[in-house]
Amino acid sequence: MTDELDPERLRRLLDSVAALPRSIEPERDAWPAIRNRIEAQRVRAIAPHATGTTIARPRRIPWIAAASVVLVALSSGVTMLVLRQRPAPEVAAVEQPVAQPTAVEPGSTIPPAAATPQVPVPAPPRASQAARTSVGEVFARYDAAAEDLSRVLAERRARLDPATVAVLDTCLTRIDRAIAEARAALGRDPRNAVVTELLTASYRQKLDLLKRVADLPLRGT
Amino acid sequence: MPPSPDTEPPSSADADNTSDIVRRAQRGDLTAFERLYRTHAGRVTALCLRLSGDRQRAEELMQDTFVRAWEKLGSYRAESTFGTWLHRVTVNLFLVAERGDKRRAARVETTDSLEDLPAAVTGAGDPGDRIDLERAIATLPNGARMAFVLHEIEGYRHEEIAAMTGIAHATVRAQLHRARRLLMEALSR
Repeated sequence: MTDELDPERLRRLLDSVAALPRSIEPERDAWPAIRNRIEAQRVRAIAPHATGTTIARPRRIPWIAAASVVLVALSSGVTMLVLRQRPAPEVAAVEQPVAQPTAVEPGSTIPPAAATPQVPVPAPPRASQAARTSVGEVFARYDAAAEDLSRVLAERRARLDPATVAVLDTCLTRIDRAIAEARAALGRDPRNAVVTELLTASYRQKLDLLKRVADLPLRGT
Repeated sequence: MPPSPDTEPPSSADADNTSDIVRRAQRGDLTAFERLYRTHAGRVTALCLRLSGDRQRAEELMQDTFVRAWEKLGSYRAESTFGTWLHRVTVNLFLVAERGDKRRAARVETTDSLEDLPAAVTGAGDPGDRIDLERAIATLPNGARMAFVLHEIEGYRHEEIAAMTGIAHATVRAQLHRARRLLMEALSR
């Protein structure tokens, strides 16, 4: 460091630097990708504790969150399995994704995910015995979980803001229609990975919507 | 005098609101965490762009930052603002990736002139400048760019940078000097 910098030029440089924006909006919304990664982590984190102790967590309808974990697990799993099965002659057996080992690094907190409650949800099969389940069975679990979530909505409906309920019903109708169409398409072409993606995405949308409803304040509370 | 990472205290109401959102996120509320993302994505993106000098890497780093922040959210104790904490998460992730990144060998490390360096980032430079300052920063050699961004833009002290990066204090100062000289050359053209 033998050369001296011209103070005036240095000042101009630092003035220019000081004028740079502190914030630059990303070119595209990264949230969907971030959310997907987080949800995948939740599945991995919760799997080893599936029959463990209950972790208390203050939440209005806690088992919605747990059911969501199952749905996410199912959606990832079904897509993966359909992709895996493409070269195979028949859709015979699939591996459930929920028994993957945890990917939490030592010393890290499993923040929110660790707090996901262990509550009445469609129990995922254990790794040893679970490994062979048909795609049809997986979608049956989807439907069961979705039914449970819908029952929660029915219980809350009367105490929600009517305008909100109207919007909610419109959205749910559209999502359910998308699910029905995707399932029909999948019936015609069971190995179509794109349709499977669409179907799982529709289930995810439904789940997100129901979770948001669970967080809405009830009238009179 | 560069800004300090901690010199942007939010208003009391903002702080309360942010604290509430952070607490909700710590309890597992992904919607609350999305609000944190929406609030801080711009700052994190700017930092990632300037540290990496590459849009694609910056995008990856930004995503990694928020995923890691979610993982580590339970360890946030509000001893600093959430933005400052997130900022540190970003820098740490960048440094870890940088240490193990074989690609940096392919980057221009020994160049002491900005003459033929390609544009890596098109940024919001002062239109009165003869060059795009963002681009010039992006094309600095790695070590010089990191020292410059962390000190001059993000406000870290020399010793903090030395501690974070694991390089000697004198090296940080040398890299900073090098960065200033290269940028001044570019500005004077």
